[in-house]
Amino acid sequence: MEGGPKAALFILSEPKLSRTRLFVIFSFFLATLLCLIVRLGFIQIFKSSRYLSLAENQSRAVIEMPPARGRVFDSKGNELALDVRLESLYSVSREVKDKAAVADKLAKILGVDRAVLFEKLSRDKMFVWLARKISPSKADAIKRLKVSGLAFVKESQRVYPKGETACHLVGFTDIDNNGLEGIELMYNSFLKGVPGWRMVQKDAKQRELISKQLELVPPVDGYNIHLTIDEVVQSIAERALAATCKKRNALGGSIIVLDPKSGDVLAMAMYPLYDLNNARNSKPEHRRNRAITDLFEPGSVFKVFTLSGIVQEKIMALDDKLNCEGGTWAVAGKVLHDVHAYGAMTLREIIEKSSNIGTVKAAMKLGAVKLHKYIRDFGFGSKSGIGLAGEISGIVPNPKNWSRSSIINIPIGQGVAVTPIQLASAFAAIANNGVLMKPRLLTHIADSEGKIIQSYDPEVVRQVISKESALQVRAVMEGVVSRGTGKKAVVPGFKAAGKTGTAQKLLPNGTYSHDHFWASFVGFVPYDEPKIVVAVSIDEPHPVYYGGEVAAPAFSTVASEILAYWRISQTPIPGQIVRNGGAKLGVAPVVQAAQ
Amino acid sequence: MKRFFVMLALGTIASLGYVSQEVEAVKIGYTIRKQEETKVLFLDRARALKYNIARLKAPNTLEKRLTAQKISLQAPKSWQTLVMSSGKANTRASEPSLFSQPPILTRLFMGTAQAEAKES
Repeated sequence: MEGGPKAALFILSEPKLSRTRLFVIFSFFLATLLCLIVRLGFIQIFKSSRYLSLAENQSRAVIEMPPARGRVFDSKGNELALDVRLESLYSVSREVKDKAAVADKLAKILGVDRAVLFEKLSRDKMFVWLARKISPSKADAIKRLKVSGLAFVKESQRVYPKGETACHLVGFTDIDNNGLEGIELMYNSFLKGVPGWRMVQKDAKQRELISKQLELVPPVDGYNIHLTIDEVVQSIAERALAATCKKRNALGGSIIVLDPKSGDVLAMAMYPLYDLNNARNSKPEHRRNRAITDLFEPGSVFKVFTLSGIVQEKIMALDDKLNCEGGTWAVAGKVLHDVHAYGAMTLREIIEKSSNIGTVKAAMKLGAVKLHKYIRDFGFGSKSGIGLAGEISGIVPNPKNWSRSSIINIPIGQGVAVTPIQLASAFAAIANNGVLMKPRLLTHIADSEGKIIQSYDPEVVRQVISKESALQVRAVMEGVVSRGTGKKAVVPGFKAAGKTGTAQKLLPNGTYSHDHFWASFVGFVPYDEPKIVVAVSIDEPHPVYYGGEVAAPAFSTVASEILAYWRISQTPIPGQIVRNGGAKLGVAPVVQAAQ
Repeated sequence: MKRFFVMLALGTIASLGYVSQEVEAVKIGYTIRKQEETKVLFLDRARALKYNIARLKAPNTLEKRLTAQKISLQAPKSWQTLVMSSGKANTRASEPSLFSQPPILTRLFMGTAQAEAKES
């Protein structure tokens, strides 16, 4: 019984301790619970939006949907510019383990500097471009490496199936598909389209849950541009121009083919050419659209416009004679020369033989003010409105600013500066019975469904001279080809009309060069019912530099091939078989149906 | 009590059905996604092929290939070609009187328009 009271005390005091402990424990848990409730309430009430957005960021994604860039078509619906989708390679550099080895392998496949790749792989970033828009074969080779940290994304690449054809006209884009030159630049806002986007929910593996698509704004594809040019006519012109420039050792040149009735530009060829698919490696001077930026003194081709004014104002009849002074004439403090010594000639012969003296004498009868009026009315000194970036207006001085010698320079195409498109357009006015048309490059702009968004109709600028006057001028121009300086412009099987021009280039010191010339020929065919106007301008041909020798044969080649391509001569009598005079590019079938 | 269990069972079945449908929808979503990717792949390939066709049809490409293969084509002469009116094939194409004869020497080396027309 010795330990009895102590034990009893212990038994009596234990329930008291237990209750205290229980109270403490209960209080602790209660406090913890209260803290949690308070915290939860705080999160729910004050932090809910933050955590909600964090959760949404993990499970939702906004995916951009790039639009397809519009295509560029020629008048026959052939694609001149379109998009293909290529893979672009990027790296999540933190996840790439053996960076040196990966750089080695990629450098071999991509054919780029290993050091550059290694530097990119070494950046501590989540996203680094390694190579953009690579070929499918290279992409496949890289995929076969199965390197973690490398991934692909598809991007649109602008491609030009015709390569060099119409390169100056179509232009090209940068790596982000923004237009940099030509049509691609001028109509970029129509071509590029509007990007769309979709908000999607993703699973734990970041895969898109289509059934949980939250919002969709579809992209609007770019509009398609339909040009007036014909790729066959364009390549005929380019081929003839390249051959001429190479044969005559010229710096460059241009050939423009217009439809005189509508003002449609059927071809706008320039030389040198460059490959649109490799535009970045071309020289900037080769990318210049000479048809709208080359400024030159036109020389004798300009005599046609002097003649137009004289005929329209009835100053002289075509058979009226003027004394051409035997090839040398001192006037206004200068001595004017002709290539050959001519005596008295009719106005018709003066233009056919391209006499400077005769033309100036006739122009003096017309007067400076009227001559200036007709020059301006034919479109010189102002932009043609063709709608391409970089077009220049040319130079036509106001009669108030003319010097004493202007009246002997300007009628023969000196002291004024024009562009090839202005020349072509002005000659087209004569071929179109005196009606000047605005050069048209686009027929319409359509959406991807073919619905026309904007239409460009042929536009009359003005009636420059009457139909009767135009017919008289045309008759003289026909004489230039059949009897005058443009005999090499003869188009077999057709009557053609035109005018040659050989102009000295102006040197920086203000004097005319005796070694550097512009050779040109502008004409149209068929004479009776002109279908095409062809303007040929060759920059610095040598040693032969006369327009009649250099440019006229190119006119003949281009006109012949276009007429054969169109089978103009083959107007068949209904129900009868007629013979054909030629065929397109020499590859036409033997038996053909008329169009 | 019995009604409670019946309701509970129905509720459970409905919930399971809903979950099953959701899972099925997600599965179909994955299939659609895969097929869409395949479609995009084929569309990309079609675009690339269209580009190749346009490139092969380009007059410049054709000329370069002909030059490379040393094939020199010439425009057919008038006696080699015929044009049918209104686009209708003329059955009289083989009648000799409708064709002028090629130069005598040329006839020794090449076929006449009649012969070529018959072949076509």
